[in-house]
Amino acid sequence: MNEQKVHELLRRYFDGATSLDEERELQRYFAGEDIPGSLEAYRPMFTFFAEERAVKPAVQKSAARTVRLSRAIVAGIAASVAILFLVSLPKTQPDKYAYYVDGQRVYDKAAAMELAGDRLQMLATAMQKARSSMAAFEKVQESNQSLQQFDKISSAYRQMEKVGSKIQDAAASN
Amino acid sequence: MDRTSFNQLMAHLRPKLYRFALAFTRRTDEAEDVVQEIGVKLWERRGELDALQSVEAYAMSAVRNRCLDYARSPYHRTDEWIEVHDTVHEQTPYKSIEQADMAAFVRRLIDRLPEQQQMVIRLRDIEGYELEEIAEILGMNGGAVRTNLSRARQKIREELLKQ
Repeated sequence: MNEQKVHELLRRYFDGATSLDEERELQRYFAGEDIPGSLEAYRPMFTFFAEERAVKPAVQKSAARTVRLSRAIVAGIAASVAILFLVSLPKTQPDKYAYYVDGQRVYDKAAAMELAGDRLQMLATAMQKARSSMAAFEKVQESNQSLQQFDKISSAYRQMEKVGSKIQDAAASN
Repeated sequence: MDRTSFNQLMAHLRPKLYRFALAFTRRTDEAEDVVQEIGVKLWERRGELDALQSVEAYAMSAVRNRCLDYARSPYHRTDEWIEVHDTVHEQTPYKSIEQADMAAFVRRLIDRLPEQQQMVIRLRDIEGYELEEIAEILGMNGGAVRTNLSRARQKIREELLKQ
């Protein structure tokens, strides 16, 4: 391409009137070795454009893979957050750490202690009642033992009566 | 659209999306994140892509919108163009430091252009889109695209001729 043709193309180029093919022709021309002094000033412009076209992203990832990874990452983050929450809960909110009192879940420590005291009191009362019942039972048992003693005495008495009766019968026969 | 077709589409689109995002964010990591985000959105909407007139224009438009949100966010920093400069510089087989410096100068000229002019010149001179495609990506009419393109190029020429 002669110098005059290049000047003509450049004039139209700067007016925004060149086609893409004509612009590619200019690109090829300015990528060459022998550029006349009258055109040298334009070379950096075309050199810059050519170099910019060579710029590419460093890493080419698959978008589909990224979607799958993103979902896995979101799931992982959610799990991590849940674990962090559970781990940090006793430290950040000690009073909300659950206390189990008599099968009930209580989050307030003071309330848990109070409820535990109530339950212990109830337990003590129940124990007292149990002891009273045991005492009554023991009395009945003692009475039963007394009756058994009475039975033994009665039995001995009956034996003595039989012996007495036999002695009387023997005396009468004699 | 099945996985194979989608991956082929993304292999073609990814460099374009990345460069466009990089022009806004000026950070390679942010640009990669934007591209990945757009890729994921496209994958999630893969059932609708066949109905689009131009998936490429749709994707570029999505990058533009995402990057404009990014640019307006309080986390966006505008003092990190050096990272972009270094990235390009490493890949540049320039024959002289002077040429490398001049290319960096062109970059700074483009970065100082009004936002629409920046986008138009990048989409045309770097990505090679037709004016109608640029109009679709940017939501402009064809006349406005050509005007912005012409102004951007002329501004760069003026500055280059001063050197």
